[in-house]
Amino acid sequence: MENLLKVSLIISILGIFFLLFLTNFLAYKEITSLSNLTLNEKARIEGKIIEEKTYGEFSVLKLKDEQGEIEITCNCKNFLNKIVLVQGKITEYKNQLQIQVEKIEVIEENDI
Amino acid sequence: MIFEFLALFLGVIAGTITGLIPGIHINLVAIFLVSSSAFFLKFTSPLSLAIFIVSMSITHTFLDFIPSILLGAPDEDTSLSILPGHELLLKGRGYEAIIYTLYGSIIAIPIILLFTPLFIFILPKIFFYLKFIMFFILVFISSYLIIREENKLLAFLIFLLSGFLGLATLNLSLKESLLPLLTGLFGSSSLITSIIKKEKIPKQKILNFKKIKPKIREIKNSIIATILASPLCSFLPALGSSQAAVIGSDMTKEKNKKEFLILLGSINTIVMGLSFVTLYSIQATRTGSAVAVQKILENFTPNNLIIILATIIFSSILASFLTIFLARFFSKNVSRINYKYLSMAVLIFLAVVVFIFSNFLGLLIFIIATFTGLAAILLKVRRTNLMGCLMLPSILLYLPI
Repeated sequence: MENLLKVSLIISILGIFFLLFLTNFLAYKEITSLSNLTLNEKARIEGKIIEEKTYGEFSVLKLKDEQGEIEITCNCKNFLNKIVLVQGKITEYKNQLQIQVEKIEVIEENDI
Repeated sequence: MIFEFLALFLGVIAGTITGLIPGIHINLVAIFLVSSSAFFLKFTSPLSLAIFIVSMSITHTFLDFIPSILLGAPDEDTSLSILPGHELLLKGRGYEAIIYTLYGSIIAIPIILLFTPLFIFILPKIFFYLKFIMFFILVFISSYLIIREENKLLAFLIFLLSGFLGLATLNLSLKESLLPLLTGLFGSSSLITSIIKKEKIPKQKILNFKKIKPKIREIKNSIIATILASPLCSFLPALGSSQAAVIGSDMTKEKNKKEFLILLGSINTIVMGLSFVTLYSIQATRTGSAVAVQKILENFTPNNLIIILATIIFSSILASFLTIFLARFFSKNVSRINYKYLSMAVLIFLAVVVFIFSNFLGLLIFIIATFTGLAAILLKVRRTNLMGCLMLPSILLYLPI
């Protein structure tokens, strides 16, 4: 039993480190089609912010890319008309899929 | 009307099947139903489908103690029942243990009805403020569960290990990420322990149902503990029935196995029942079944709520009889089978289910979670600390910065 405990602890600790390491590589999937999004999946998408509604700290943005438009939510502001790279989780609000932003960065300040 | 009744009966049958399959959580079935709801809605109305989900889910909460006690293969809601339940099983009293959880599930029904008006009128008023103190509530509950352990350091280690495992799992793009995580932490780890210990299940005593009577005092204590603890996990994220049961049993200072099993049964059913009420009152979905009902019923009217409450009552009556019958049947036969081989078969079955739903990555998480669960068992740390896998990510989510 003593040996099994050691083995369990070692596999558990090493495994958790390995999974945390994997999150850096596997966490975000490039969105290739807005019609084929999976709920709760982590995704990455690039596009232009064409609408921004701010409610205090919280904002609802509309992102447009070649495939269409999707709503994204974040605690951020002043992204209107900027080209951004968004990383986040696909969530659902009122039967509409949206991206809950974990990271957003500006790629270009102005229109393409 | 005929279709609604048919949906109720079919739901009870489906809930019986899902409840008896070891390690399968009702959330998994609910997710499958949501994804295939477009297909089912061709043949039936949204309300009938919602009735089917509610009666299936309630029946599931009655029956899922049968595999968790007899086979040691719980889902996350029944994970704590293994300890007192398994102890009674090894004394030939597994049937009795299941019946105590049934008493709990039956007690749950009037409590759900009692809480319904409170959840409708009071919860919406306080829920907004609760969100701001959620972080502190979660930290307090986690600390409380660790502090009550004999070896606090080891309990903290297990909490952290499972917490980081949960964080990594939830941050990976994985379908049904909770399935490998919780099945590994709670299900397969206890199955492996049974296989290693070469446990033999003695012949089970099948008492007459009327003879398995908890004392009035035991029922009273369980009701008080349920009333104190179950609202906690009805709207707090990450807090499962097991944690609520531990808190409830501590609040009422009860240490009796019977009372604990009654408490687990009642909380398991209450959390499910009240999740439909919280869906109505604050539009929060605390269970997978509530998510499914939300998606299927676009407008949740007061009439719908009354029908759902009636479904809860009727399906629980049917589920009670089914539990008595099936618990008797399986308890009679459990000693005849080779427990080691059965545990192995269940273990393989769980691994296959994980692989089908969550792929290779899911299987990897399942293996790591199994060893984390094993470490907790071998270190003699209560497995409720393994719920750190959901508590820690929730604490970080509500971190007030």
